[in-house]
Amino acid sequence: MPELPLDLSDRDTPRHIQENMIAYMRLFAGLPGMISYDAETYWFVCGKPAPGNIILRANWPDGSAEARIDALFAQVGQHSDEIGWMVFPGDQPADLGRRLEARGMPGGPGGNWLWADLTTLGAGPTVPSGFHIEPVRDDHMMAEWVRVSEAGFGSELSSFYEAYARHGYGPDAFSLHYIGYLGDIPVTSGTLLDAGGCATIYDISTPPNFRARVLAAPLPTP
Amino acid sequence: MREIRNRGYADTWIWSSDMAKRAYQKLGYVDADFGLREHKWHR
Repeated sequence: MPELPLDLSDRDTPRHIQENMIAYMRLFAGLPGMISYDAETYWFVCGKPAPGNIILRANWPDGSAEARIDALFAQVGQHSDEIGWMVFPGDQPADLGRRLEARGMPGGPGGNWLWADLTTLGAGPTVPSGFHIEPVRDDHMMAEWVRVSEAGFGSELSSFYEAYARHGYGPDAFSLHYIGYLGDIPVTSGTLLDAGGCATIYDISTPPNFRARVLAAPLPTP
Repeated sequence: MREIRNRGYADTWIWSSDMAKRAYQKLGYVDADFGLREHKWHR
């Protein structure tokens, strides 16, 4: 791994990422078929592949942790047969990951997290002629964003329309969505979530038939 | 990324699939491991 001009020894960075991910899942809370619990733990379960089933926070006293883990799985098990549990460095008890491993749940990297320093951002990549990016401004564009995303991810994403349209597009919106066009043809889509103390990019997709042309553009393929 | 900078951030994060990792690296993203680990539960 290259040396980062970034101090990852403090807890701010993982806490910001954790809060950002929870803010993302909260966008879907309460939609049909989507169940969440948001207190000393945060978990989210839905009946669809996306946004998926995930536990994102635990904050329990040492002494009650084992019973709380049992209770959490009993709760989640009422709605799903499986779930991912992302353990962050600030979660409690501090040995939560080791406790889960002792239960036969080995831990692995929680996705590919990439970081970019924007203070040294260059001129940007070469983009295809006619390529331009537009923010999603209304429900009509949101529907178009969903169509591009469904083609890119190869899955049904109607709940994303419901969640993002419900959140809205005004100046107070922190969940921002973009469509990349070649001329007037929508060819790629993505989301910027400004929440929890950081700005994180999600949902980037490009339908297979456009990937060769768009891959070098600022919204690459999943 | 420019919109993120316009919002006052000096850096940004992306959670990438394996497939897209190289594309993002071309945009200046680098691997950053801050200790997040995922465990899987199955009934």
